Formats: sequence, structure tokens, C-alpha cells
Amino acid sequence: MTLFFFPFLLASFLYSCDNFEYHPLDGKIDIKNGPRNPIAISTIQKKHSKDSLKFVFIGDTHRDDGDTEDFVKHINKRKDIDFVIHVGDFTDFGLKKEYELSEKILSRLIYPYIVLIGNHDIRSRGDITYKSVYGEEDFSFVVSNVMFIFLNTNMLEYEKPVNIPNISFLKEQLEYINDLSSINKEKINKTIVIIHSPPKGEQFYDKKLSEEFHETIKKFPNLLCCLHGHTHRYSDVDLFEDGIRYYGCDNIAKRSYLVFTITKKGYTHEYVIF
Amino acid sequence: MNMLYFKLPLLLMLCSTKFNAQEKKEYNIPSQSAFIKVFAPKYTKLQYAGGMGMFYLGMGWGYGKNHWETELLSGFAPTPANRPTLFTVTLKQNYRPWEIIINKPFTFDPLNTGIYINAILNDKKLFSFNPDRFPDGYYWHSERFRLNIFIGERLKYKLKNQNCIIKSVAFFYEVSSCDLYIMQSFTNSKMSLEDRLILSVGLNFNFI
Repeated sequence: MTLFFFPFLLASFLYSCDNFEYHPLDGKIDIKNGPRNPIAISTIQKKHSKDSLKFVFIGDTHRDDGDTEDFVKHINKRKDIDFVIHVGDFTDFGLKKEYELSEKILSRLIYPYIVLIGNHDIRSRGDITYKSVYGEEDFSFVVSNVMFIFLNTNMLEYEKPVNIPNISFLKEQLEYINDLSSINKEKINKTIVIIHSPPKGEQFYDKKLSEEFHETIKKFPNLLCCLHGHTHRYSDVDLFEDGIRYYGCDNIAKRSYLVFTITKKGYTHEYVIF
Repeated sequence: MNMLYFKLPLLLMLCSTKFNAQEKKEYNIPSQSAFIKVFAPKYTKLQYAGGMGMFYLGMGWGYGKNHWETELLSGFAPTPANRPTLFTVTLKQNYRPWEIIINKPFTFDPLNTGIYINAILNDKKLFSFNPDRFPDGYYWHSERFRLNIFIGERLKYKLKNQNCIIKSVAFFYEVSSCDLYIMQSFTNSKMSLEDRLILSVGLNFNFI
């Protein structure tokens, strides 16, 4: 009679062969076709031919997968979006399984989406995972003469000395713009900077570096604004009192997102609840 | 995945209480000193996966009528090329209330449960607890240490040649979960139950 038990035990674990995990931090991520950001950028640039741009801006979706799924379903019903920007903190602990789950949800978007690294995503060596899934932490692209610059500003996550935010990267981008202008007539006439942690916060804590960051991005052609997450609440602030506005988005649990429309004249933004 | 396969061991545990659980005798090693009797490992083991590494070896001590076991394990987990291989050490505590002779020389433990703490020894960029540069309570979890709970079963085979140093070999499986995966259950995460469970198998080589 007792021999009856053993086949059931054997069947039970044989069935679940794919659950043999070596370690939660071993980085063996099950996401193919990475890095994803360059592919999304390429899609945005190829598909976009209009003069105006409309993109959606969200962040801090960690712990709220249900609301993130609802957001995806909601955005997929809209017909007027060009792409989506996720400003970071899509995981809580930076674990590979969290990266997999977040990407599984976001990949259901019918629009291209770009994901920036947040402070939580760096934890448990998530900075290495981020590079293989999404690509470089600092990057930029141009569409419709608008330059989008993405920068890792999660300074507190790193032991000193740190090169975060990478001001050299910003200066290289400025040189690139100048070279581009000299090569052809088509020029970049607007800039938007996207970061996770805003200056003057506990992550981006160095006051001198915050000011250097702000002064550097002001040198970009027609800097429109700076977008960030991390604070988990919507904000629209002239942070350095010089006319450059910093927009922060809610965390997804508040079931809201921002829509930015960029035209030849400038930009507008809209706070939407879903 | 059909979760019934994970509930079966629990059902079997309840059924097995109907059988007479045979108490194991306390082991006597008359020719050895008391020190060796107490502190020498009672078994060695090899385990695969389980959130502690790919392969790891260790030693264990059985006591309390062999219902309780403490193990010290060490192993490694290979990683992709862009990150360091993980080397870990684990302290494990097992409890096995029943051991059933099913068909000599086989004995079966319908339940083996317990906890283990796993520590990653290398990779300086991982923190043990909220580093000083962060405000108090900024991160509650540890990156270096993982606390796991597990449940499993074991099948032991007593070797015919009892003059060998190894007296019996036990094959086991364990289903476990770590603190961070369990936390996902409380943070509105859509991580599936099977994603939060970790499977492992191994062999115990008993000296007594």
C-alpha cells in the first residue's frame, strides 16, 4: 500500500522540471530579443513621419502589476499615441523574475515602449540585468527633430566615487548635435530629458551635481522640459526657477498617466486617469 | 501547471498518519568517544538547485531521535558571462516527523520540512542590509542573505553491505520559496505561484 505513494511524488516533481532554479540572483533571465530599447527606438523612428509627436509617460509600476495590466489595456484602445515611456522602477528588488514579469506585461502594448532604469531596478545586480534586457542606462534618440535624452540619475544606489549622472555623456550628446548641424540642414530643434530620480531628491542628492546637470541640459537646443518618476506623485514644478519645468508622474497605483503632445510651436501635457 | 501536483505531498502526509510511523532507534557508536559521537557529521549530501546554487555539498547532523537535522552546505551557481559566478553557503534546519518502512530496505519520509538561510559569499556590490548611505528603512531586504522555507519528501535505501562507510542513501526532493518571492504574494504581484516556488533534488549519504 505504501508503494502507492512514490509514483505520485515522482510524477509531481517530474512535471515541474522547469522550476529547478539555481539562485534568485543568478541572472538567468528568460527574455529573448534584447536589448529592447534600441529595437523600440528603431520602430519609433521608422514609423513616424508626422510633424507632431504624442507619447505617454508612466513610471513606478512596481508592486502594482494589476494596475499596469489595466493601463496596457487602456492605452491599447487609444488610436493617437506614438510611443510609451516608462521612467523606471518596474521592479521592487531588481530580481530577474520581476524583470520577466514586468516585460511580459509591457510587451502587450501595441505601441513601442522605452524603459529607463529606476533605483529599485538596480538592486540585486539588476543593473546587469537591465543592460541585457533594455540596453544602455544612458541613451538618446531623435524623432521629428526632437531629441530625447535618457539618463540614469539614481546616484544613491552606487558607492562613491560614482559617475552618476554621467555628465560626460550629456556633453558628448551636445557635441553630436553640433556635428549633426554642420553635416546637414536637418537639425534638432527641441530637446526633452527623461530621468528617474529628480534633482534635489534623496537619490540625486549632490547639490553641486544637480546644478551642473541642470545647466548642462539647458545648453541643448530648445530644452522643453524634464520628465521624471520616483516621487510617486504628479508634479509640475519650475525646479530651478528659470522657466524649465520638471514633470513627475504618479505611480501606477494611482491609475493615472501623462500624455505629452509636441508640435512645431511647443508642447502640451495632459493628466489622464484610467 | 496543475497545482494539484504540489498539494499531493500534503495529502499524502495526512494519509500517512494512518500508518504506524516507526520510531528510529537512537544510534549507538560504542567504540567512539562522546565528542565524535556528538559532533561528527552523521551524513553528507549533494543537492541540485533549490535557490542555493546549481550544485552544493554539505554535511548534516541528525538528533532528537533523528527527527531534527542541521546542515551546513556550500555550493555555486553559474551565471551569464556578464556577472560573477555565485558562491554560496547555507545553514539548513530540517524536521522530519515520520519515517516509514515501506518495503525493506526502503524507508520513506512523507514529510521533511524546515528553513534555510543562504548567503552569497562573493560579489562586493551586493549589500547585506540597508547600507549607511541610505536613510533608515530605505530598503528592508537583504541582497546577500535569503531566507527560505521548504517542504519535501525522502526515500532511503539501506545498503546491503553495512561494513561500508555509507550505510544508506536517501533520495529526496524539496519545494521551497525565498523571502522575496513570498513577499510578492503581499504586494499585489501577478507573479504566479509556480514562479515563486523553487524545486530541488538531492542525495543524502548516511554514515550511521
